[in-house]
Amino acid sequence: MIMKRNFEKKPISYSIALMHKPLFIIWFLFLLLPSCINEEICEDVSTVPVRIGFYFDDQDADQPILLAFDSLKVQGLGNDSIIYDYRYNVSRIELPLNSNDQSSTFLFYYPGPPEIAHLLVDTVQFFYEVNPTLISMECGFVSFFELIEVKHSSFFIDSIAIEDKLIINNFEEHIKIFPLVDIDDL
Amino acid sequence: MTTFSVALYAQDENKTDTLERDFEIKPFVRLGLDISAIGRSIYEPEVRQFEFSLESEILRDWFLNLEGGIMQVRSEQETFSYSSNGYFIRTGADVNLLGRPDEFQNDLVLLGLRYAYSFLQHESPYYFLENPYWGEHSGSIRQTSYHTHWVELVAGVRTEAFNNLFLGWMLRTRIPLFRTREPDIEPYYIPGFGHGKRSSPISIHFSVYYRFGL
Repeated sequence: MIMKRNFEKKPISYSIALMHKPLFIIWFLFLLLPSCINEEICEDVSTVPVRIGFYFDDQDADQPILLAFDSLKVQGLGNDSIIYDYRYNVSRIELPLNSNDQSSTFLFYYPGPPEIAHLLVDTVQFFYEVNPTLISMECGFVSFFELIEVKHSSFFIDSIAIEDKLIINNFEEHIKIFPLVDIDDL
Repeated sequence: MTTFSVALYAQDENKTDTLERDFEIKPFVRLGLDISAIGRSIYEPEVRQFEFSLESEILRDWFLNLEGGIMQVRSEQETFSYSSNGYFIRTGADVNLLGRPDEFQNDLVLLGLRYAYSFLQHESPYYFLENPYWGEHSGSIRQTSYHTHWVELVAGVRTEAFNNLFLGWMLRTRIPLFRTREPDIEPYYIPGFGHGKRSSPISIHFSVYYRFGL
């Protein structure tokens, strides 16, 4: 006895599934194509910077208020190169951590008369673990970091808060610095 | 005459019902090979993964699954060297949402759950990092082991393209459970899971299957 497949009696879900075989096989091969597309784009950076914002902690506001320094110079301790050379109107900065060490120290110079400029300075020291990570075969290794502690002097810095201890390849802000601010100046 | 015709029709209906409901499940094992790895090896030849699956219908429309595979990563470049070897196993069950109106209906729309475990060993004998401000950093990472446990929700279809030969795809979404804590280095590729921290929440796998009767 020859039995016929009884398509009329199959559930509605069968029709929804669109199981028409020739179409399915073509579709199957077509779907293989996207897996061959590689859109890896390497950023020209192998060390992710620590991202810092300057804030005023207003007790009456829900969120700290972003501040802008009139001018700021930043330099790594033991390095002659200047990262920010009295840049104007600075609210956020990015500092490169040293992958060869477990800590990096930066000097923050504030504007003032030339004869005392070297005295208007704060020191910020970051302690961290270095986590070298292979992000892709095209881009190779990148240094990620895990912040452990941040120490600072208090010439113009009131406090520092670690917002995100993992310094990886995203655009999150890691550190909030709260300068000493006279509320009448705001 | 009219009465006789109606009686014949009723008999046919009964016969059809009997055929639909009472066919036996013939024992079988369906062996599957993941052919997505072929596509992946074209754009990422450093990663080689072989993956197979075995499944059997233990109850009508319920399939028991065992999946496994091995993986190897090798890359030696000017700025780094990295190698990794590992394996994975997954087990779970699928339910066929289509149902089987008759024994010739072998196409499947599946929804399932898996428990998965993966193990790998990896190392980086050397790597160099450019740092424009502080200078170049170089280092090496000794060989270490890495374990991962996770569960997967899977959904997909299989259709019988030729007699006993099936084509199909599965969507997989993974929920990590446990993994090695604070490893010296995050694995580049976790066998059966995908790119360590870059793994996409949903992946699609294409497979070819052959059904062996028992």
